Amino acid sequence: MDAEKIQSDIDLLLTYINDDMENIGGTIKSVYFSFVVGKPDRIAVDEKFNWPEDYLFKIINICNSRSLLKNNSRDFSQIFLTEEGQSRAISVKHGKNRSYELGASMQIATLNVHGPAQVGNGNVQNISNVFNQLLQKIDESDATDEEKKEAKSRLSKFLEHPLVGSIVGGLAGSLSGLA
Amino acid sequence: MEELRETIRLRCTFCRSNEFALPHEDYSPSAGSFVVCANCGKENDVTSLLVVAKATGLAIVEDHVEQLVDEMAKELKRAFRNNKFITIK
Repeated sequence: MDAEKIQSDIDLLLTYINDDMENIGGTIKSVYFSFVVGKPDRIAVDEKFNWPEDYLFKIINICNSRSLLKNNSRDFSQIFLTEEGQSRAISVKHGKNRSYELGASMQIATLNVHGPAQVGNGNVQNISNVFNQLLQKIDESDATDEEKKEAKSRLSKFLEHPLVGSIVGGLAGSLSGLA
Repeated sequence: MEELRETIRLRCTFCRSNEFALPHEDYSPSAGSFVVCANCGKENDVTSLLVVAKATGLAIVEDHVEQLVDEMAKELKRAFRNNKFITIK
């Protein structure tokens, strides 16, 4: 069987399960799915994908083997989404395939988690340092005062843009050189 | 007591590779962003990868605690084996 089709169908099933779970505000520990004939989840999947029963069960079994789903039953009546399955569903939904970029000025490395990993505000601090350096360079440049003012004004407008603000968390107001 | 120390590598949710393509050395992805798998090229949601790593870490700790409790129970049984007032089942 086509390996790519299996991958793609795994993505379809996981995305369906995650979307359905999110629609009712459930969590992976509290919500399970039943794919027994006649059950609402099975009816929905049959309508959506139109897969033969043995193929649906094969996809579920593959997901179970890869820890993407957890099958707690013999008759596919208690299927739980796992953390890994949810991770894949979210990545399928919001991520892109960027294989074309690989090798183009990128470092290949592992990402390890040693205790508490740095995620979040620490990165804003790094960005803040970059802009402070930029302001310093503008001040140190040989440009006229008017040109410096213009450069800072453009930087300020850039940082005030709502989209940029949502990413770097209202940085414009915290940079003293932009006052 | 022996200290438990484990390194958990983030793993691509599509192909399970441990290697990611990063824009520069010492890059630390922010929550809600994506990292590109160096093997299959697909973007992985960073927050979800961390959730998976946390679950993996918890499972390791649970196994370790279970092992410690078993060892402690064995030690207790051994220590009170010949004591006629205390019996450990």
